[in-house]
Amino acid sequence: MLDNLLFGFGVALSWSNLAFCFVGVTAGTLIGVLPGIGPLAGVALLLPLTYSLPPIGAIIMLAGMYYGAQYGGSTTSILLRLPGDSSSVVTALDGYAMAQRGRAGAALTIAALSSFVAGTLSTLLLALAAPPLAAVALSFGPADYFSLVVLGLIAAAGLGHGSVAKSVAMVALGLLLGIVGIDITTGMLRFTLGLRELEDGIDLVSVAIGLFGFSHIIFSLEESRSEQRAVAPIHKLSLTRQELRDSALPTVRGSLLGSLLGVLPGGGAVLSSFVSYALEKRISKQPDAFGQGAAAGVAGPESANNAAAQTSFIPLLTLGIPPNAVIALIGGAMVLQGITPGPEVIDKQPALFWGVVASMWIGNLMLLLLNLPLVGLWVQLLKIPQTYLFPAVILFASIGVYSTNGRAFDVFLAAAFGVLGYGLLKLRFEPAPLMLGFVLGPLLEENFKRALLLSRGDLAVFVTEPKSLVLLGLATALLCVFTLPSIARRRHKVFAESDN
Amino acid sequence: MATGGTSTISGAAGLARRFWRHADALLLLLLGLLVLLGSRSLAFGDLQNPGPGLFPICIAMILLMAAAVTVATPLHGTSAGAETGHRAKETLARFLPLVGITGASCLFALLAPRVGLLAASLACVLVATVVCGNRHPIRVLLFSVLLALATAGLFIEILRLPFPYF
Repeated sequence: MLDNLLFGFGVALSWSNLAFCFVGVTAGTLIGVLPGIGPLAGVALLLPLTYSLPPIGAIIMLAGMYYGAQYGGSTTSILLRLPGDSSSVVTALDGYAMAQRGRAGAALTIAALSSFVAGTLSTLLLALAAPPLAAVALSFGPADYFSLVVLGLIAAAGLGHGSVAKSVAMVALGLLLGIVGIDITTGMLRFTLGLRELEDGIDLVSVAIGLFGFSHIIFSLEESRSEQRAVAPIHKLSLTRQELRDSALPTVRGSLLGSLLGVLPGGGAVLSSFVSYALEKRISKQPDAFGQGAAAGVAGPESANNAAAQTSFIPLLTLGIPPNAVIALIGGAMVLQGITPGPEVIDKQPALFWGVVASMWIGNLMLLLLNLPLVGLWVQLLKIPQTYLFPAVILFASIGVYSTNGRAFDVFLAAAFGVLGYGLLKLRFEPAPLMLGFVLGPLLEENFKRALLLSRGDLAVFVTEPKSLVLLGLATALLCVFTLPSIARRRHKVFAESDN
Repeated sequence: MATGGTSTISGAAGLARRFWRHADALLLLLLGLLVLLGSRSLAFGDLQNPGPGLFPICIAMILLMAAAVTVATPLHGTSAGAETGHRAKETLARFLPLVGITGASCLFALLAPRVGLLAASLACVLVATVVCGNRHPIRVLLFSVLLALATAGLFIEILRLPFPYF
């Protein structure tokens, strides 16, 4: 592993890849700082910029943006009680309370250091776990892959915001959009509405920009609030011994928990931060201190969300299955670059795999330097009025979509998905599972058909193959758990809290 | 008469409220039915040799089941459907961001192949800036020109995308 990591550092430390990493983490911090533009919209917006880049540089940049957004989100959570993205919601509870007590600098240092430690540990875990997992994945047959995708989709639906039924419906809608175009086995056209532009399928960038870019801007404009919040002053960035002691173990626990939850289908930064906060509060000797400025309430969730953002690359790079919507987009970017995500990436594209892994550690180091000394600069960015910010995003998105294939049709499609996304948000549908269904739809159908062909039409193949049986069993168990009345009530309560 | 008129209005409002309350389920039902309809022309095949219609029909079934569960679930009453009904009635201005943002983007798509990236970008930013609430003409114009120049320059000169300025 050490040789491979050294090889990866050799790739990641080239001037061009360092520059791509820097651009990615800086854009990620910016996305994280600005409320209303989450990592999903950010990756979608940055995607067109990567077309002309070499594949390794493109993936390093997009990955940097994803984990960079976790850092940026904590800054506004702590200083303004305004989470830049969902994974920083819980950080606001104790981070802002610390800031109110004059410990804003300490809270920022805890968030940055715990994120850095988590980034280092999860990079090591990624390097350790990915190769053996990829070897296991090579033994997967079509039935196993089908069941794995089903498990991933059900987990994504259950762990998403709002009603499980609506999330499942979003997955189904995503699957439907994913199969638009020519059927690969028969060559027949499906759901193209007579439009030639849809024969090769719906463009990933149009869906992503429309659903997560345009619709969120429209929603934000409608809900726009003009209130100005006071930024907590930053006195000193140094920690007291007590704060250091209080945040050390939660950082380690958060890193391990986040690393684990990031790998699971449906998991990711948001879930990890919530679970870590709940865990720290439960095992603390002073649970009443949580919400009042407990260092553990910042260190745990911040380390967990950063670790999860990085280990969520493991399923994509080893199994070819993205565990959440942001990683699905990055997987889409790999496909656009001519790389098929999956177990063969490590063997066939070692420079890409090890280069991206090593760049994550370098990116974390850059983020540490970007986020602590330059925190004042990021806070200033919050003063950019949306009357200037949003038009820039709209233009950038429109040119980005247009440049994908040089077709006006794709921009019209993105606008249509913007309207759809707005309608879905209004009716409280969660669009993220749709994205996952869209990316995984063709894979699900292909493996379903191949499994049936190989078994000569025997549906029992999905339960007679041991790996498939275990995965389908897990999927069924998850579905049952999510629909249990007590769990459903608890989910509803958790999401209501996070919305507030 | 007045009472009758009032009851008619409240009846219509109640109907609208009920519609918005179930709008999410209705949307899923409509989608499910549309997929079923669209799958009619596709061969279903058999299990040994699945046709292109098998998968879409499974998707339609999931959508219809989700519609049924959405109607039946107790959480359904707290959905934003009812709110949407109230809001939709307020003013047409509510739809300005929806029409304006998508319109700005479509305007860019219409103009870009005809007049080049720069003019299309300028038109897009002008519309979007006004829709986003900036009503100061000189600032809007200056901002639009600068942003259009910078963005077109970034995509054409730095990222080397094959689009003309004009």
